[in-house]
Amino acid sequence: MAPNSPPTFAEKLREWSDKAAGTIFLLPSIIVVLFLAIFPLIISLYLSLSRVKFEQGGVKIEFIGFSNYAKLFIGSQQSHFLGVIQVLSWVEWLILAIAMLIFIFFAYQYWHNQARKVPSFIGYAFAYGLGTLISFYIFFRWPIAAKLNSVLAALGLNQLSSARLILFLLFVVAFILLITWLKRRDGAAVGLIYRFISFQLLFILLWLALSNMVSGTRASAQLALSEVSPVTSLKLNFKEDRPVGNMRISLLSGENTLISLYSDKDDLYVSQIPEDKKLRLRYRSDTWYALEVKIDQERGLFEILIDDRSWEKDLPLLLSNQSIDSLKLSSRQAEMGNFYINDIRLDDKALSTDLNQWQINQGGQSSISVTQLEKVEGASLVIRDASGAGRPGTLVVTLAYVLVGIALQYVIGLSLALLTTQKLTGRRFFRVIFLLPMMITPVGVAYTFRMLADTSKGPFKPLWEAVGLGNFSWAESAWSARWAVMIGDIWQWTPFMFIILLAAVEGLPDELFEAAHVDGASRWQIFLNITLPQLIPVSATVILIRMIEAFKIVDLPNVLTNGGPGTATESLTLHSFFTWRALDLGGSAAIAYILMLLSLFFGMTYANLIHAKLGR
Amino acid sequence: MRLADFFKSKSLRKPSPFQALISYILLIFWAFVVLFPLYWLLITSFKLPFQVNDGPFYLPFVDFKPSLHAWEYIFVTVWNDTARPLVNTIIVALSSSVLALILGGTAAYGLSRFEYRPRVWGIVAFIGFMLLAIVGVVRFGLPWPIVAGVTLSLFILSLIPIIRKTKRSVGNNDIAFWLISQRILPPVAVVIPIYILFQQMGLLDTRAALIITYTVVNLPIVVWLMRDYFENIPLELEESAKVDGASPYRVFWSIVLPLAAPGLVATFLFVLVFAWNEYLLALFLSSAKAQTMPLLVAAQNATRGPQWWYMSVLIWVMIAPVIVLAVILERYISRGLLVGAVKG
Repeated sequence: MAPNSPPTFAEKLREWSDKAAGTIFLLPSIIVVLFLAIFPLIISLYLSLSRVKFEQGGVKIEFIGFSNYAKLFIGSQQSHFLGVIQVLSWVEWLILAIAMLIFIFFAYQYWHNQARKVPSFIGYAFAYGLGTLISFYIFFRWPIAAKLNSVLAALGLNQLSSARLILFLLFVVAFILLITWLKRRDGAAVGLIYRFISFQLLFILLWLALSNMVSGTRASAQLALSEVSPVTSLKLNFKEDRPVGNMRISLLSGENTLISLYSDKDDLYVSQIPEDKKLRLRYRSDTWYALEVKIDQERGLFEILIDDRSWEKDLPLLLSNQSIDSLKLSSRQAEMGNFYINDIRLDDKALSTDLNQWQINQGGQSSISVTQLEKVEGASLVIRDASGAGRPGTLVVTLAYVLVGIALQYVIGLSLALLTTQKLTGRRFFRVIFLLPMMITPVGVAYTFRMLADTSKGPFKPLWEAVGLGNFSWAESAWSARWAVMIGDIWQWTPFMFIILLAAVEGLPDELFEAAHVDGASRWQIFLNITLPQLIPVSATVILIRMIEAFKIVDLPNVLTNGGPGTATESLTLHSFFTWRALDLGGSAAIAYILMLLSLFFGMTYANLIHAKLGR
Repeated sequence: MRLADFFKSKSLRKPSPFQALISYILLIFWAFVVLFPLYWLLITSFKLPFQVNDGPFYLPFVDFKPSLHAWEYIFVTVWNDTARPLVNTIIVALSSSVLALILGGTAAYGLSRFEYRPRVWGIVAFIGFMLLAIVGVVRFGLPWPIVAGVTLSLFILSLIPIIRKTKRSVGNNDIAFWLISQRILPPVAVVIPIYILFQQMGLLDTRAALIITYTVVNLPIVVWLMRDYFENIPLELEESAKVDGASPYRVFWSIVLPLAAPGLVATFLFVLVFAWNEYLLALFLSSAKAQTMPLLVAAQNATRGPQWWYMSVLIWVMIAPVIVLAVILERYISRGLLVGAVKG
């Protein structure tokens, strides 16, 4: 080719493509992530502020402001999402006070390290406290919110609490502007306020967890069904004009539970149902037997026979202008396991969206009927009234999975890593074995643990019987079911901690240890003073990675316990999934967004306050 | 040997016999914890229903007579029901892993070798126009091709003043962090719009939907792991090739890729396992046609009740390949994860 001839098109193209190589390498990934992660994320935010309906030929999205969120925090989903919040006793207040002191100590330590004085610390703390109080006042009490609500209503945005949230967000924006202004003048103060915010959120979560755990007063009564009649119908009347608290009704045959019903606060009122509406009943059953559900009303009875384990059935509503005050459940099979009514919906509006709320209340008198078609020897009805007791919602349950799971996984993983780095024959064999659970599909893990935990035909039956728990069903009690999920999670994810810590321990230089060993340090001293400090950076990172992943837990609780009993083992992802399946896409997106913010908050707080410090 | 020697270790990593004994007890205990569930799963798959229901039997041939009944049922009687999810899982896992590796691998290479300086205001403008486009389509129901065209051209027009006037930009580490941080997103936060999108495109319950979604989900892991592999490859070879006039693509294809082969294989198998085991996204995006193995396993209880013998077979079908991979890849996995963990 002549050196001076103009470049051909192919050469130009080649030159251009060589120049653009960097972009060509990177751009496809960026575009894919933008369109299938960032784009959907933004749309998800919009969906969480909307009501989504599937219609013929498309989706109808109606903007409704913050009501999906309001529903979770203060509305009908509150006891599902936040749990049942109870008044704290002095023990819990003491724990909170101690936590507060620890928080203040850490904040002050930071302030002290910045070589700042006490009075300014108190000043900032006071200002922050005041700011918090004002924001709470704006959120909960400010009458202007109501006025703004009516303005919003005029604009067609008449949703509960939108105004409060908008005011609150305005306040937050003002606060952020204040901080940016401060940052130019005083960087340390910004760090302090950031810590205050993190601590405050942690404090609120701690308060929530504690108030969920309040045990309350429990009362129980037992009635042998055979005393009443072969086909038993039992009516419980609550004369008092008070909400019936957490209630559990179990139909027992001997020691085996035939039917368990759970109910929570009576925020379910069914009244004034127009004639053309349909009542939808969703149910869940641990077993696959056919079920017959009868719903008894003052003026009618509707029956439903469900042959398969299905999720929703529409019931014809026979009744108008009449509230349902009695719900009758009957089973064809004597042995039918747990039975929960998930929720009762009127068209698509949830009358009670909480899975285990089914208490139907009318004029201070509630009645629950449990009918047994076949006579079962020794059947009895146990009624437990646990009003005053708290119950963790999906938020606290998810946090428990994450925090307990990570702590135990780390301790076990580190011990195993230290054990297998010793010069022992066969350590490679152990390493490969210990790695296995991580690779196994979580669904498989869940079923395997279900099989193992079976007290009547599982491998540990002799063990259960030896300790007198032969008839104990772990899936029945909330905490044992939660532990089953956590044990499965620990079994599966300890290998992840193990494998990374193992490589880190192996990478430690031998010289230090040998020197310490020659100097006569004990193994324990060596571990505490040499090994552990050197492992801290890797530990901090591996905990961060696990934390991010752990917030997504869904497979185990869904398959192992199906979120039950009641909602006891539901994680946030599962909550979101159930909401989605109930065709409440907006609500589902709202839960997903809260989960994302929660995991971001924990990730950021951990990364900024702990990881940065330890990793240094 | 004196008694004192029994408790004394000679060097730090070589334990004394007593310590070795304790260590072995602990190690064997945890090995039991890990292996017993798998063992139980295996023997259950060779049991007949009554052998499961009549209480625990532990040892094949001693406690009970193993039978191939469950295996025969899954592989012969209902083979048609098993085969489809199995084929789906294999196709979806393999193709999404390959796609993730191609996209993520090139991106990781780009991030480790080229310098990127996108302007901050360019990104802000992009997000702004994207929001405008979404509001235009979703809220006001404008036809999306027009909205996309208009906003895209506006964005490109806005780039000219941005490039001329502004200086603030982000670097490679920021881009890499942004890509990797997609892992923080809970899948459930993005799956609902994806569900609606696929529904509108008629892609729900197809393998394509799953392949696309899994690729995106696994992309950050590939970028995270492969960036470190590429950064650890010495630059000299590439530079000499460049001097010889090789194009960047040729350098990448003929020099870098062969050198990074072990890392590529490990990363590939790693994301393969993730895609193989994925449950939540499949739960949202598929029902019958594109059902994958985790869904089939999960659905067992619903359709047939706890028939542990069949379930055990299915679970073993799912986990056997993965266990083989784990045994072969133990070294790669620990190395790959550690590199990421220490840097990440």
